[in-house]
Amino acid sequence: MDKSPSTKKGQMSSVDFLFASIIFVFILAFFTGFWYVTTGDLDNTIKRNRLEATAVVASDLLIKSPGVPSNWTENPSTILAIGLVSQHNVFDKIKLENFTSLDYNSSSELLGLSQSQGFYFYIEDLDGNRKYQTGNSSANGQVVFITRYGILNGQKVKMRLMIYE
Amino acid sequence: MSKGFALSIDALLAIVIAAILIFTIAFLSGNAKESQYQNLIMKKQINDVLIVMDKTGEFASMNSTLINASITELFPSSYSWRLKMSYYNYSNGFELEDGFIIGNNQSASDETIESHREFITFSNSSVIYYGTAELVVWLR
Repeated sequence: MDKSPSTKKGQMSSVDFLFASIIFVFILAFFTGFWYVTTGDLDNTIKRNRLEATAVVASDLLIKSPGVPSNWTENPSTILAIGLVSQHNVFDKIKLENFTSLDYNSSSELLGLSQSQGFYFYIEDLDGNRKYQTGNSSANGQVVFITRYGILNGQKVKMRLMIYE
Repeated sequence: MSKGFALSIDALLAIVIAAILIFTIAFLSGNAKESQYQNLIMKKQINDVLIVMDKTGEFASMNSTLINASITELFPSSYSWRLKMSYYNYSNGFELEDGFIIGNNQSASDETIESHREFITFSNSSVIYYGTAELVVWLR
């Protein structure tokens, strides 16, 4: 059983190789896990950012603009852009009534939402009593809420807009 | 001996590079998870509050208790805030007539969002005061 020096050298290399392989597999498993967790988190962040951007733009549209044309309530079919105020942050009761009576798809389109996005809108007084509401509040995925402040009939109110995917 | 030493340096270098890579990715992905719009939303809410309080005449009332109660009622409990009101009259230039500061004390480490609004108070169609309201908000 005389072994040549080259055979012994090969045995040693196998142990080294096994050890290196185990370390490599651990590192690979760590990186793979880390990659999946990170990309999943980033995907959620991207979705949330997109929803927040939509919520900011839509809420600005509602609380800052009288709409286009500004007298859109006289003929709601001619509406080009939605707006619920007579002047900045002062809600127009007639516009609120018209907006909340529009069908869901029209409202969604006017708010600039994509097909995969939904919304729920309401106005409440500072005691939490809802004055006007429209949309669909049953959301399954990511949800973003934005609260803005305005005046309705001389009283301070909160406008809350929920956007979801 | 010298061969073993050379291999240790290689391994050390590889570990350092890998560690830097991992920490960089973890740091960047951690930052990316923060909301990009939170500050913008807070800024818009501050502007809303200033507009509402101006239009409801609460700034013109010069009543610090009323203003304090209104802001506390509007903002969520997670917000801390500080308001500086200044009222000027104009005769030979603007002169500070009255003013007050209400709200919470902020520390140097707080990341604040602020906005301000100018307004005019009237009595019998004549201007009484030119005012400024500076509102600073931060998360508790």
